[in-house]
Amino acid sequence: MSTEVKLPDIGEGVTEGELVKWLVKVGDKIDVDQAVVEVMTDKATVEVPSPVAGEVK
Amino acid sequence: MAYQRQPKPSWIKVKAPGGEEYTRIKDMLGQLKLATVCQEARCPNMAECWGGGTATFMLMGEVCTRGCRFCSVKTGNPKGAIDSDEPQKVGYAISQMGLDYIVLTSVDRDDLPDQGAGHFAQTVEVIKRHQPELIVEVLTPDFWGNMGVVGRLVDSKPDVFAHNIETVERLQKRVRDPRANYAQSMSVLDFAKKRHPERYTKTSIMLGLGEEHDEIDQCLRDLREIDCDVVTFGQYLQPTKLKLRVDKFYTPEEFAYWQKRAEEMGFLYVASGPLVRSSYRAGEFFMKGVIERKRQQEVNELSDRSLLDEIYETRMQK
Repeated sequence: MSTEVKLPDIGEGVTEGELVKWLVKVGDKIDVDQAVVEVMTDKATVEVPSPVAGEVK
Repeated sequence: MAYQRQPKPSWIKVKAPGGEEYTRIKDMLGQLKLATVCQEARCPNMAECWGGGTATFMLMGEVCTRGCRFCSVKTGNPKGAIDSDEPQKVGYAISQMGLDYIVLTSVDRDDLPDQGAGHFAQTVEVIKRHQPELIVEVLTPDFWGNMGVVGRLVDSKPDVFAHNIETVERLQKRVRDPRANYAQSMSVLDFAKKRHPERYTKTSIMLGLGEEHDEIDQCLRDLREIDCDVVTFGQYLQPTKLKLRVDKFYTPEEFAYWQKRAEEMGFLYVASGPLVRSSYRAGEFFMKGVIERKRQQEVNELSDRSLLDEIYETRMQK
């Protein structure tokens, strides 16, 4: 079963950011809460965690 | 030209908020229609603080009558509207969050006869009545430097009275709303300290707005002159594209320099780091220790040595 990783609600009004770096690659096994991608918002670079454990497809 | 976000140095990096504790607090605040400065100012530390059960409440609504050029809180005129149940709601939310140190701040309410000082003070009093052991820090507007209303708030006996100078003297006009200024903010801190010398005053300086070394130094000397106890330094981060751009990203080493420099000048406590915010947890842990010991001391009456002497001595031994 695949799970979509969504940009979490990181504060009022911040709904977009630029994807700057993937921290995992296809085939990697990851844990729940492991950071998978870095997104740059206006204020900071934010590490987005995976909501589930599994394998990156 | 399309708006380009400034690239961030590697140390301006945080974890996205999440987890049960964060979600629980967020839902409860939403239900009670309470605002936090964490959300309104788009604070990058929200995940860490909320995850640990800390939040800074923003009283009197989400609309500020002032328009500072560093701040993303909405500017407008609420025309005297105020939720008179808010002190009780905040008290309830705090009791549900299981905190032992809270920070209350507010928007500026130039539309109210007392600029909201009475409402702010009432909130502190409600909390103190129901949870006397809770340490309360207030982070306040300048109230136009009207000491009558500042006194009303100071007399509600918050443990820490914080008011932010924000930046060096030269940049005040550029950075803050024209109704705010350096001398006025200094006078508010001075008044609060003189009124209750046994309580603590605190201020914050944002770095990265174009200030020079000697200007920061002068600001620190001015703060010591009025006996301000605590100072924090953090990196200014542009919250939206309409706000001031970052002039410079200070390195962690530069923050360490300012930490040491301020400590040498005799501040009781200094927090300095790229992601330090005026109500950042790191500072609160220290302040909590200081205040609890002071309270214990008052109860015991065993020692007539001042707390400051004790702290300086501990520091010398290190």
